[in-house]
Amino acid sequence: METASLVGRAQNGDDDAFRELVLAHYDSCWRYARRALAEPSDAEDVVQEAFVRAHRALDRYVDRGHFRAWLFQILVNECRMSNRTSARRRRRFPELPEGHDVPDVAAPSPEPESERHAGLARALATLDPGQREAILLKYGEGLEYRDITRITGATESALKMRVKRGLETLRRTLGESRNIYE
Amino acid sequence: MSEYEQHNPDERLAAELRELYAAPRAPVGAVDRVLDAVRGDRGASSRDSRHWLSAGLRRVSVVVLAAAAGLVLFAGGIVTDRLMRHDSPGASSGMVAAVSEPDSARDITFVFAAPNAHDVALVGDFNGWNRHGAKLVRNVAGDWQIHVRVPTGLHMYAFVVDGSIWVATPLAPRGADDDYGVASSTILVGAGARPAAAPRS
Repeated sequence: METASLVGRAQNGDDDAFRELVLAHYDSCWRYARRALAEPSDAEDVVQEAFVRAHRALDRYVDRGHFRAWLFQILVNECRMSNRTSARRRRRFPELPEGHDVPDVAAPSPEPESERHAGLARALATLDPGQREAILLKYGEGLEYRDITRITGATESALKMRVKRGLETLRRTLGESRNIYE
Repeated sequence: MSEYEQHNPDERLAAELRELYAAPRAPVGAVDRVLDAVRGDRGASSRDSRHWLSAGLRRVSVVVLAAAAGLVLFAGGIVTDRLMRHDSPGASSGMVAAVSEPDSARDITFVFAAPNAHDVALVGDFNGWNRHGAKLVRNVAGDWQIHVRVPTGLHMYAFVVDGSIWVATPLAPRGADDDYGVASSTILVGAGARPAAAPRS
């Protein structure tokens, strides 16, 4: 069923329609959060909160075919909030390494990544947050710049610069370890 | 990976990013947990009218709302006590601290004009950037307002409009932690502040 129809039904209180929307968008939201968060183990909680907030705000969504961008706008803000909290925790407890400051025994074990993917993931994690955000939305989600503008609030030219600089940094970082990108 | 991607470093990297991005699988049962949380939130919200957006609320474009909020937002001061002081380096920003007692925290009144907003929250490093903890309410002038006790020191804050639009007031100094192109404002709370007017836009 079309997203617009599902959104309309969900706005009228149809729980099955909202469930369909969650099913359709959960995976991409989770993948984004997993790579965008300083604490990847928080991804499920952050995505859950984004959907709760989206459900709360659903009545104010005016359909113009941008539901995915609207949902991602909420998700991106949730990720930013979570990262700010993580950064604050790290400032308070600087001895804890990034990504491991709060052990989460309930979090699912991450799937083993290939060495190649692991290296790229590490390089991605060290990027400037705005650059990482733009790169994930551009290459991970495959979104157009006009949609990323809507999601992030940044101008298209700023986003292009973030992507360019981010790719340069990734190539440089990976080049140092792999010696293949230079 | 295509031949073109193999011979173009940026395209090769982009292809690898797409592979990396697609690799992890979502946790089993996560969707059901989301739906449980939505049901729980609906139950909780229906008991708290401040958080629940009723179906009767008129629909407003988020984009239009964001623009409107950006045009009219301000942070103004409400004098609630014997002395009005401004603790921010940018006194003209209009953010005013109403000092109630000379200890390690101050009662600050945050005022925010967003006539079309349905929900405004104050987030800052002083409340863990938790948008659920500091909901503004409409005052008699129709502005959004909240009184918050803020520890002395330099703090960053922003307003979150309708749950998803992050707004830093342009009338207050911008925070240095502007990581995402979405700025935060700063406020310095502490001794040695000087009285300030409470301009309104």
